[in-house]
Amino acid sequence: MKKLFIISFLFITLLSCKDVINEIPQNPFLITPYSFSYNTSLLPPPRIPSDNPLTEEGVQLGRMLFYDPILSSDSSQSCNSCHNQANAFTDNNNQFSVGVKGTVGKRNSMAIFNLMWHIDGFFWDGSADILRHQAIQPIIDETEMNETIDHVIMKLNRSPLYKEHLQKAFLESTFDEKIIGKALEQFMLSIVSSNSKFDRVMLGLESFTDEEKVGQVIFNSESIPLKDEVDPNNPQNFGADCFHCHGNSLFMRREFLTNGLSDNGDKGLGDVTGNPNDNYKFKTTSLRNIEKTAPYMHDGRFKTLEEVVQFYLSDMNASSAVDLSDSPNLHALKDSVYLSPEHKKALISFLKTLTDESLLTNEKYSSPF
Amino acid sequence: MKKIIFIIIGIWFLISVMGCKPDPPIKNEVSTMDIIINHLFDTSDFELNQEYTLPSDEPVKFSRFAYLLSNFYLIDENEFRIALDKQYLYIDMKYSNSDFKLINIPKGTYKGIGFSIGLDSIINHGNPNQYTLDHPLSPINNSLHWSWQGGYIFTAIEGKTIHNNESFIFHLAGTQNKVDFELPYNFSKEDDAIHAILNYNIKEVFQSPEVYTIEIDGLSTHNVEDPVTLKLINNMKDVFSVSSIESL
Repeated sequence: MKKLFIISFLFITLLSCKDVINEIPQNPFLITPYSFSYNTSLLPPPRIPSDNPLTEEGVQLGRMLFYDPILSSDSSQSCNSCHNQANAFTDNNNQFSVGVKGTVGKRNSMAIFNLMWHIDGFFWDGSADILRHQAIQPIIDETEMNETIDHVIMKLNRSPLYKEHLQKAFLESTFDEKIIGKALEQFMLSIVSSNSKFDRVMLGLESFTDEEKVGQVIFNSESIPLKDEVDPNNPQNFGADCFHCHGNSLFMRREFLTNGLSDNGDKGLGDVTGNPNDNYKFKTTSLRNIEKTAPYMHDGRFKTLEEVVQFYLSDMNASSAVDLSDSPNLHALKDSVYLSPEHKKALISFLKTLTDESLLTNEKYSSPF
Repeated sequence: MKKIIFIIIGIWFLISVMGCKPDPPIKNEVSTMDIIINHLFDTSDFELNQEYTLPSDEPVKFSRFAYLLSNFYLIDENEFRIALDKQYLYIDMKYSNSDFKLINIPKGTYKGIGFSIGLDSIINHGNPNQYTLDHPLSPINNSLHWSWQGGYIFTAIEGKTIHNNESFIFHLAGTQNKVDFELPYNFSKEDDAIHAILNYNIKEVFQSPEVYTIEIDGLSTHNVEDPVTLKLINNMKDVFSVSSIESL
């Protein structure tokens, strides 16, 4: 009897620590944290969603989905069809992308890299708040992949290969929209570009040419409107004023801004928010790899960097869709600004130092198939 | 033998019970201060894209109003300045982020609070990429860093004049243009958090001691020592006041 009492007592005291015992991980599967590198002296610590940390398995699953036409309604297009690695994940120099039904889109395909450092929304118009939401839209957009999520889920759940990778990555047995979004998010977040000549120069590993040095000064200097200068060849008319909107080490700004383009019927952020103050504002994209992402602007209206530079140096007041007095970021450019042909060439030479060749060929970002 | 068994059982019981107890609360000598900054234009609530008349009688609309605060300290009853190190605030009317929290506020009785618009030289010229994206000093977060010069814009004021339809852009920077504030206000910090309400009167930036007339004084500055910067910085010395500081 005494022994029974003692055993019961010990059992009761053990039970009082049940919560601690339950804290032992129950799942025997191993998930490998994804490792990546970037230039820590030039780029700040990245932001990774706390509910979707990058894992080797999750990135791999996302990579498979990214390159697999299974996401489209007729299995003819993958994300990669409009986001080609060789073009910094843009659409092969096409102005607009063509969907599975032959429908032509209205905006230029956006580059995909360094998304871990993006804060305020995705797409040109900011209509996706987080990346996993962005990832789903091209699948269900009838002008793009024209597929339904339910059908994609059915196709993936029928695939032993995908089910195996799903189990490894998310410890789940069936796909759903959330998991598809998270896997694509992981792969796109994993794409990092920080090995351009510019980066290597900043690290002291290489040097700019004389022309590139001049271009860097032009990029980072304010312009002086021609109306204030008698002599357009005055060296003080040196700046192209690029830095106000592309000034940090990512060469972008978090804000959606207007840039003085003429109206093509697309109000960008304004169409999303309904706020007239947001009309004709678009995502201020990174200038990294700009050499590889032609054509330019949200509607791909400029074929070359030379055309882009010429636009910013021309009299935007004449054609702008918005009153430029509402856009102080364009204050210095709202009147014609002069750059000599040599200085334009130097500016473009500097912009080309932002090309990261390793991004374009890195096998980690290429097709797994 | 029975005694030994009961002693073992007793020890087992004590260990198991103590092992499941939550950790005792640590007596905390510090707490937090919630700060709300009311942005005013004279006596009205200040909002972007609303029309205001400057002291120069120029009607304007502001499209951007953002600034950085640093160097927070409390003045105790013995006039000692107690620094609240490494705490920075990024205020941007676009994001309506005017509700903040300072930490590590020691218990005590205080006679005022101090802080600066702007940054000391070491921070101003330090590597901005050390900060996480949600840090007040992250250039990605605040868009207030002149990367090519290695320093921050302390205050960014942008907008347009109504009559002339001209945009203005005042980017005030330079360590020498940091503006220090020391605001007397008696309060005591006991166990509860402190709730502080400060007022920032934007009209003052254009009012005193010298009225700033955009048409005459200029539409823009990005220069740390030109007359536009110096005039606006000089006018900023009285923009802040204390509405209340209370222990809740």
